[in-house]
Amino acid sequence: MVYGEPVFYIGGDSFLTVELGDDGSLFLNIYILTLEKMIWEAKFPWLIDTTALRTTIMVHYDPSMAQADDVMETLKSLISGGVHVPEKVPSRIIHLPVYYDDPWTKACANQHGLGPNLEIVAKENVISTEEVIRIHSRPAYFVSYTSFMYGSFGAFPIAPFTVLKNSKYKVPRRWTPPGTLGIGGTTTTFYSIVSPGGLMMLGNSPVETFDLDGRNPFFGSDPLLVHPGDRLRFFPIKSKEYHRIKRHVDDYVYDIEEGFIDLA
Amino acid sequence: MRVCKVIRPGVLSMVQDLGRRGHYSEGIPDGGAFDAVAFKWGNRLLGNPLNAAGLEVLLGGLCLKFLEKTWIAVTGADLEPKIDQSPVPMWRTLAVSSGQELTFSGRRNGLRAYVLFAGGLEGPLFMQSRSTYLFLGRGGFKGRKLENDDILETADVSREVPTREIPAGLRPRYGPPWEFRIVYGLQYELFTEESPKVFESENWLVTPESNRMAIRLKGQALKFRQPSGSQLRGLGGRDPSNIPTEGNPLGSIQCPAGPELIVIGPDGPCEGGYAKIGTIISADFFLLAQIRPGDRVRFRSVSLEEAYRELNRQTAIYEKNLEEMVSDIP
Repeated sequence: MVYGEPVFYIGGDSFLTVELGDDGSLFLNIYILTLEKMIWEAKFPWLIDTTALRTTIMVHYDPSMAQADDVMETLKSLISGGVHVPEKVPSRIIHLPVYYDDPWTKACANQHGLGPNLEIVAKENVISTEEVIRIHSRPAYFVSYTSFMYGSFGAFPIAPFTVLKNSKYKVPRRWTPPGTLGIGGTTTTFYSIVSPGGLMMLGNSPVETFDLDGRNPFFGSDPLLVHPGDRLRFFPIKSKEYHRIKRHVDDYVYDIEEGFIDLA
Repeated sequence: MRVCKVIRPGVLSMVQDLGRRGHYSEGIPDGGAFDAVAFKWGNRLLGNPLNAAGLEVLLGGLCLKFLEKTWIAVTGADLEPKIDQSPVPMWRTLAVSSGQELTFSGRRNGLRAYVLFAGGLEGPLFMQSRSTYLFLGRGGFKGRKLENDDILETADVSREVPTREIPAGLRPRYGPPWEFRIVYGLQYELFTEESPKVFESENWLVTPESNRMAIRLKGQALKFRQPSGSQLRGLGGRDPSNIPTEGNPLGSIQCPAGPELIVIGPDGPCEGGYAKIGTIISADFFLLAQIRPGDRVRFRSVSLEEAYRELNRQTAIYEKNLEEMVSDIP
């Protein structure tokens, strides 16, 4: 749910975090993305940047133009003026191939002293690894944010049949293979580049989520594949298909459906 | 013009400007020269725009051979700069000629020195900036740190640069001792009543894992209250230090459960899921660039009003003392 009144947190002299709710629901997320768009459209002279997450928007402001009190008052009146979340929200569905239980994440887990992460998740949920894959690849996911790293996404299942529960690494990994799909709490996260990480690794996708060098004509003028507000579906593939896609990754044609989320 | 060639790249030398803004949602941090104060003074000396690209030099080892006559300025940490083996002054414009070599061979204070060039370094922009973002391998010189035989280019220098110096009183004072002023906020309420006292009395040890992404400090573990609100919904994680992921302000101080603090640097992650006790004020952020593993750091809380006042004061210095600074040295 959305709070009656937004809650503000002071992040030093140039940042403010606005908490809009606390359940991380689909409605709250769409509310947050709608508000974020309104903030940019208002063209506040003090606005430098925004970072929308599942329950908050962080605002980076220019303190030579406005101070925290002014920014808070401005945002409060913007919000109380009404954040009109449409009943039908445009949202694409991007289908992404995932090689679950792949050898690279297993090797990575092994180098960090852990067994295959898929098995750990299966054990914690008292189900088989096949069931983990089935449960994970069944629902559509809502992309809540892409600020983890360039080309990444944080997405959660819309109306899941079963929620997978799992713990994170006690000591974060020093590295994670690029293309890794990780799961932490209810959020599925994509590691687009080699980076440290603490989420359990479920599998690896052979496709690229960004194209800064114009290698794949599919990207056109937008180097990023996934944006907040998109939906995702993960479809399991095996080793052979993984390698076939990887070999022709610059010619990969993504399966993207235009569509709407119906909030009514 | 081809201004110089890298003879030795040193520990970590890379191209920086004042960074990019407005890309957090895409996971791109602001970046830019870590000690932006030293960086801007260097550009002011040379009459460059403040954002003109230069080099950020971590510790010693860098050796540049000039290929043309030009003017440079060296600011930031004192890494004992020399031209052709003779020590040269910092915070001052230097005329160099073709064939001369600039080297950094030691360390008197700080960690990062800056070399600014008349006209500024040229090169392609990545998201409106020439700042090197190593994590993604983009920006600056081919998205990477400098290597042997790299050739750096600047715009042609068409006018003489007079000899100028930043008055000693205007140069930043580097520690140790290091004290950072902070403003409490963000998840401050999640900490126990004693935690701020511990936080401000501890001499935090800078660890070797520190870099442009984050400065990591060790000390006495801060304590948390019982989880509440959105934490109970399990969006973040089970530990009381876990919160639903949110944006990371520059200079914010993350507190994972344990005796460690993580201070977000210019290339830091745009979001994170650990409680943050507060944020270093903008006027002190640049000093983070100069603390070194093994140094000790203290924090002192100030009001938000003081943070604004200090930032205004710092910005005003650039303007107020321009005349004084640019006057030729007899």
